[in-house]
Order: sequence, then structure tokens, then C-alpha cells
Amino acid sequence: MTGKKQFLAGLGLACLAGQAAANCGPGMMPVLTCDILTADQRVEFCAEQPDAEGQSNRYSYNFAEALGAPELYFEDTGYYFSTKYYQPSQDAENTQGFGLAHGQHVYAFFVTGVDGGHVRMAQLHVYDSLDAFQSDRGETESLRLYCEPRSIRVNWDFIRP
Amino acid sequence: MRGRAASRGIAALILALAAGPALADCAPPGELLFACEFPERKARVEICRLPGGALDYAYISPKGRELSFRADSGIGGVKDHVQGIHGPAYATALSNGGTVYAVFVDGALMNLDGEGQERNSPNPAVLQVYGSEQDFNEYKQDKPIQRRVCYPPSIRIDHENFGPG
Repeated sequence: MTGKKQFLAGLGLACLAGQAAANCGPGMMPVLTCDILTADQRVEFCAEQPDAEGQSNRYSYNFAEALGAPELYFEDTGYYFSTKYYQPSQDAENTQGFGLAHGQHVYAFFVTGVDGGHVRMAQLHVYDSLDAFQSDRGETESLRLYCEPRSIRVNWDFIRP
Repeated sequence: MRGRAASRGIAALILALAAGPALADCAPPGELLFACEFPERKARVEICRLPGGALDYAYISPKGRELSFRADSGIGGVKDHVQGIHGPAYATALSNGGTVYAVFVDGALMNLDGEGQERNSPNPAVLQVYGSEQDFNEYKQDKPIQRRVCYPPSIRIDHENFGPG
């Protein structure tokens, strides 16, 4: 249920590009940013501004102490998408995942909410392998951190397979 | 960054504990011992304490009450390390035909004080299932056959009665 995809941007990418763009590097825009619930830390998943064909070929991950220098920063040329927690139902709320590879590890977020609308929860997972990220068996991450709910900023245009 | 979450900022977590939805569903005379949500799975767990010491367990998902059972008594436990929990992890568990359903929490949720008691675990409470009581009781090793991670703001716990001793 997961696969590496290049992002085909739709219209309306500018919806969150204002204030949160400051957290991403030049030419990059936020996919998901948040403060960590249980520590004074923050995480930023960003993507290159889509080109004329609506495609982004550069994604970045940044994890840092709240006001400090990056503890881990890396870039990837594409992303992995996960529907591990997606459950078809009448309930509009669902959970989808977005992961970036760094060496053998995958750094992913899972966002729970209404596509294009309310965000209830987001969490950061670290996996020791791509197989672990793609596994549908139980909780296979090696680390899970939750986002402080009010700090979550999501650009739903990127939360697509 | 793996396993190195800093130990600051408990206030938001504690405040959030009271703000979770009223999910506990213990029928009188049962009283809530522990409950939390797994929003990514649209599921929750509830453990209710009955007069005389029996415990009711329920795992509720969109499929309904996927698993519910009663144990004559709870089993206390401590582990040196459980993934996502800083410091020792403390449990109340229920045996269901030899399979053990345990909730482990950190020292902060146990209201423990003292030097060296770490706080702000990334995952202050987890539900873990063990194939045997021996696996549950193993202090140094933790090999659950299944695991769910509680969303911290949804955790509700009876500090007085939860855990070993």
C-alpha cells in the first residue's frame, strides 16, 4: 500500500505558504511542520516549490531543538506514501503517512484529520528500514513522537499517493 | 535523534490529560483504572476496576468491541525499559487464557517522585500484549507480540490504583 511517488502538484499550493514558509529553506514550502508535544523540539517536512508541470523533485526534513540549529537535516528526491492506518468508513477523518528516506532509515509523519480540513493529530515516526515503514503489521517504528496539536501546519496538497 | 527526546515541557501534556474526550465507559459499579485512544486506528482501550479486585478489559475499534474480557485480578509489573518510555515502566496487566494484556506507563504517570525519575517520555503509556506471563514478567527483556501507543492527551488513569503494589 505504499510506494515512492513524485508529487504532482495541484492548484492552491499557496494556502499555507505564508507564515510557515519561513521554516523551510529557500524555494521550499512546508508539507507538515509542528512542535513536539513532549519536548522542546520541532520538525519540518518541506517540499520544493512545484515546477511548471506541477512537480516537486526535492523534499527536506529538519528536526531541531526549538530555537536551535538542526539536529538532523537531509533531503530526498521523492517521498513514500503510507495508507497503513487508512480505514474506509463513513467517518471523514482518516490517517495518512508521508515518509522521506535517509540512508536505510525512513522519517515519516502520519496526519489524522479530514482531508483538506481539520487536523486532529499528527505524529512523527522513525523506521529502521523501508520494510519496517511499509509493513502493515502492528507498530513497527523505532521511535514515535507526537505533535503539539495547536502547532500542526499541514499542506494537504502534498498528502497524496 | 533516535531515542533522544529531551526532557522538558511536561505542562502541556499534563494539562491535556484533563482535556481528552470522555471516553471511559465503565458501567457502575466499575470505576476507570485506565483508558486511552489510538486515533490513527480509531480505537481505544479501557480497563475498569470492579469491587473485589476484578478488572474488565475492552479494546474498542470501528469494528466494535474487538476484545473484552474480565480477569479476577490485575497483575502488577515493572520493566527496566519499554520502547517510548523514559526510565522504568510500570504496568497493570490482565491475563486472558495465558495471553497478557498490559498497559505500561512512565514514572510521571505513576506520580512517582525521586532522583533519577525521568519524565516526558515520548510515549508515556503503551498497551502491549505478551504471549505468556513469563514474557510479561521478564524485567530486562521486552518482547511483546502486539503493541499500541496511547495518544498522550487522551490518557486517563487512576493514579491511586494503577500499577504494581
